[in-house]
Amino acid sequence: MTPPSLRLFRTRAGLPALMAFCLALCSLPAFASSYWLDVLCRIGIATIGAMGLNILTGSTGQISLGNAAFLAVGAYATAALAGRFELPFVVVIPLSGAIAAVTGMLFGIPSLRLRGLYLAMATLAAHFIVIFIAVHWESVTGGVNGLAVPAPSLFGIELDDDRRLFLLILPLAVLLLLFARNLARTRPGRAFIAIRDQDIAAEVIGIDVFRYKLISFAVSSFYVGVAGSLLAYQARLISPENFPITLAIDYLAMIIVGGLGSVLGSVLGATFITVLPEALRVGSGSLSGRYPAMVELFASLKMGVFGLTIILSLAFQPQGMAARWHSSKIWRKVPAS
Amino acid sequence: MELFLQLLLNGLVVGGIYALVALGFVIIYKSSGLLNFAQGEFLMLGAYVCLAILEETRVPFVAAFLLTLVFSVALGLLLERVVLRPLLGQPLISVIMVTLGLSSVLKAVVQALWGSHTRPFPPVFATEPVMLGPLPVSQGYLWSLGCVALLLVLLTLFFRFTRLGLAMRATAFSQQVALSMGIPVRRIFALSWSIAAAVSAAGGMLLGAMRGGVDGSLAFYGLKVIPVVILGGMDSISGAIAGGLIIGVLENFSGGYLDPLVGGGAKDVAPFVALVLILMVKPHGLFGTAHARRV
Amino acid sequence: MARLEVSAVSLRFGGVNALREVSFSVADGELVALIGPNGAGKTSLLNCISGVCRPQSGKVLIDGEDFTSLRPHQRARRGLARTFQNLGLFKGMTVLENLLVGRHTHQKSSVLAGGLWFGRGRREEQGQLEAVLAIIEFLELGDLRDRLVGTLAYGLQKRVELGRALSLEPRVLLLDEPMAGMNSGEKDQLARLIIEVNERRRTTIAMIEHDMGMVMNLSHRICVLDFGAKIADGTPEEIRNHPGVQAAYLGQKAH
Repeated sequence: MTPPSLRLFRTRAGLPALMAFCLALCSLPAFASSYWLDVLCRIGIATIGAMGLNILTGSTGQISLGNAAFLAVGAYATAALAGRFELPFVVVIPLSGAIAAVTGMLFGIPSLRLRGLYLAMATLAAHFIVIFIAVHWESVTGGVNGLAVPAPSLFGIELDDDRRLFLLILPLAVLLLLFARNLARTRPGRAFIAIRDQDIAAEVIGIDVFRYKLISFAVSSFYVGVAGSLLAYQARLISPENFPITLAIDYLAMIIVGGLGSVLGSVLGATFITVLPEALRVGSGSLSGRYPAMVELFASLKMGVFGLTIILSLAFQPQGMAARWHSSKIWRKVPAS
Repeated sequence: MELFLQLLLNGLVVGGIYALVALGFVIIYKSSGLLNFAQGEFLMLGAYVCLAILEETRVPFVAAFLLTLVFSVALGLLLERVVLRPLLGQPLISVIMVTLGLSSVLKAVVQALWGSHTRPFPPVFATEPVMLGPLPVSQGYLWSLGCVALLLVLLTLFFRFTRLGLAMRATAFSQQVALSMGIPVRRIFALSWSIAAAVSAAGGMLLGAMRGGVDGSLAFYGLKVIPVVILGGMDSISGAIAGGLIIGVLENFSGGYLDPLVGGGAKDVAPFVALVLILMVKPHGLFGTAHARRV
Repeated sequence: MARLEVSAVSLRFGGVNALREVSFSVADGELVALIGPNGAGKTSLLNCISGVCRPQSGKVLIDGEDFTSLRPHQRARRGLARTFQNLGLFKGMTVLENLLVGRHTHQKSSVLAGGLWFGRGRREEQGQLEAVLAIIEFLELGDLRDRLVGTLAYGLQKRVELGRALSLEPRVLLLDEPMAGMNSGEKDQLARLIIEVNERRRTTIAMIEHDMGMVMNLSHRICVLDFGAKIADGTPEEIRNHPGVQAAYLGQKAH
C-alpha cells in the first residue's frame, strides 16, 4: 500500500471523481453561454499559470512578482511563432513554454545570491524591464499597438471561438496538473520543498540547491509560458496592456487563497480569483436597476473586494482553500470510521 | 547646462518625495520587520484627504496639511491594530500579500469616494517662478524641498533626542532587549505605522500642490520606493533619504537624456534597471547591514 | 589510512578565531566524540567538514580524497551525512518524505521522468521507498510515517533527522548533539540506535555531545576542543584523567 503522501490521488475516489468532473466540463460547451465559456477558458488558463507559479513560490519558496512578465513572454512568443512563422499550435504552445522557461531561468540566476524579499524585488524589476522591452522593441512586439494572433487550427478546424478553444485548454490543463502532482511526489518535487523548508540542510543532504532553484524557475515559467500562449490564442490580440503588474499580483493571490504548493489549491484559487469579479459584475448589474450608481462603483468594488479577500483569507484560512477542503473531508470520515 | 540643472532640480524635488515615502517603509521594516507595499496608497490617500478638507472647509493649506497628518496618524494606528498585528511572525509571502491587499482596498476606497478622474488641487503656491541664477524655478518646488528638508530634520531630531525616538531605535536594534527594558514594543509598532502613514501623506499633499491635481496615478510613487530602499538599504534611514534623492535624479536624467534615444519610457524603467544592478553588486544597499544567517 | 582526516583547519569570522589549526582523524568504523565547553568550536568544525563553512586554511579528507573545496551537496554525494544542532528537518513534509530526500543522491530521475511517472523513474521511486521503509522500521518510526515532522515532539524529530542522514547510507556520519533536549529514556533508546548504526552498519561516526555519561559509554575515542583549538585526544579513560580537560570544563585556563 503506497503511503498517502506518495499517491497520485489522496483517496481511492480521486481518479473516478476527476474523470467524472472532466466529462462534465467537456459537456459544458454544449450549453454554456458564450460569456461563461469565456470565463471558463480564462479559468483554465489561470489554473495552468497558477500551477506554474505555485511550483516556484509555493513549493520552492521563491517569491516571484515576475509571472506577468513570463505570461507576456509566452504570449509574444506565440504571436511571433504562429503569426510570423505560421507554425501549428501543437508546436507553438510547447515552444512558447520553452522560451518562457529559458527566460525564467535567466531571471532565476539572481536567486543564487538573493533570497526572500530581495528576490521578490528583483523579479518585480524584471517585470518592468520585460514590459519596457515589449513596448519599445516594436519590430518584434508591435509596440503599444500589439500583435494579432491567428486562431489555432486542428485538422483544418479553426479553434476560433471559446467553445472550441475550451476543448484544447481543458485537456492541456489536466495533463499539466497531473504532471505537477507527479513531480511533487517524486525526487525533483521533494528537492523543491526541501529548498523551501531548509536550504542549508537540503544542500547538506545532497541537493544542488542552485541547480534545483533554476529547474524550478524553468518548470514554473514553462507552465506560465503555456498559459501565456493560450491567453494569446484566446485574446487574438496582445499588447503590453494585457500584462500589468496587477496581473502578477492576481496570480500570487490565486496561490495564496487556494493553497501554497498544492495542485488542488491552484485550481481552486485560479477559479475563485477569476470568478470573483464576474460574480461582482453580475451582482452589481442586477442591482443597477435600483441603484444606478452601482455601475460606476463597479471598478472600485472589484478592487476592494479583491483586497479584502486576500486579507480575510490570510487571516481566517492561512493554509488556503485546499487545506480547508481536505480537512472538511476528514471531518466527514470521522463519524463513519 | 540649463537642461542639466533643470533635470537635477526636478530630480531632487521628486527624490525628496521618494525619500519621505521610503522613510515610512524603512521605519516599519526596522521596527517590526514587516514590509509595507501600500506606502504609495498612503501617499495618494493623504493627497485626497487634504483636497477634501480644502474643498469642504476653506481653511488655509497649512491647516489642511496638519489635519491630514493627524488623520494619517489615526489611520496608521487603526491599520496596524486591525490588519497587521496578526501578521507578526507570519511568512514573508503572507506579509507581502496582505499589504498588497491593503493597497487594493485603499485604492478602492479612494476611487469610490472621489472617482477616478483627475481632480484639480486649489493653487497653494504663488505661480511666478523665482530666478535662481539663470534658472527659473517654480516656487512650489522650493516650498516642497523646504518642507521635505524640514520634515527630515524633525524626524532625525525625534529619533535622536526624544524618549520615544530612542525607544524606537532600541526596538529596531533588538525586540528582546527593548522588551527587557520595559519598552512597550507593540506601541512602538503602532507608532511606526502612524509615522509611515503621515510622512507618505505629507509627500502626497506636496505632490498634489505642486502638480495642481490629484489622481490614482499618485499610487505609483509607492512602487518607486522599492528601488529606493534597495539602493539605500532596507534598514537605514539615512539610506532612504540618500536613495530617494539619487533615484529621483537618476530618473530625471534618464528621462531627459535617454528618452530621445529609446523613444520614451526610460524614466520609468531606469530605477528598476538600477535596482537589478544594485542587487547584483551590493544586495544590502549603500547603507544597509548584512545580516549573518545562523546555521 | 583514516576514513575521515581533518588536518590543520583554521576558521575565522571577522576577528574571531573559531578554529585554530585543528587536526583530528577518525578510523574506519570508529565512533569519535567531540566535546568541549560552549563556544569551543565544535559545530564550526562539523560545518567545515560538511562544507557549510569554508576554512581559511587546512584540509578535510575522506578516504584520502580531498573534500576541502567541494560544495556541501558534492560531499553528500560522496557519502558524507550530518544532523544539525537545531534540527534541519523539512517541516512541510512527512517523516517518510524527509527520509526520501535522504535518498536524493541515490536517484537519477529528472523532472521529465518524475513528472511523467514513467519507466525507470517510476521503478526508481519504488526502489527508494523500500530502502526508506527499512530505515523507518529500524528507527521504530513506523507509526509516525505519514505525520508531518513539524507536528512531532522534539525527541522524535531528532530521530527523524538521524533517519534522514542514514537514508543517505553515509560512509561518515556527523551528529551534532543528537541527544540534546531528550529525557534519559529517550537518550538510552537513541544510544542503542547509534551503537547499532556504528557496529552493524559499520558507519563511521563523529559526534558532538554534552552528556558526559553518554560520551564516555558510547565513544571509542574522544577529542576535546577549547577556544577553537584541540587540547586533548584519546580514549575515554585517558580523557577522564586529563588535567587540561578538567581545567577547561571548570572554566580555568590550563597552562
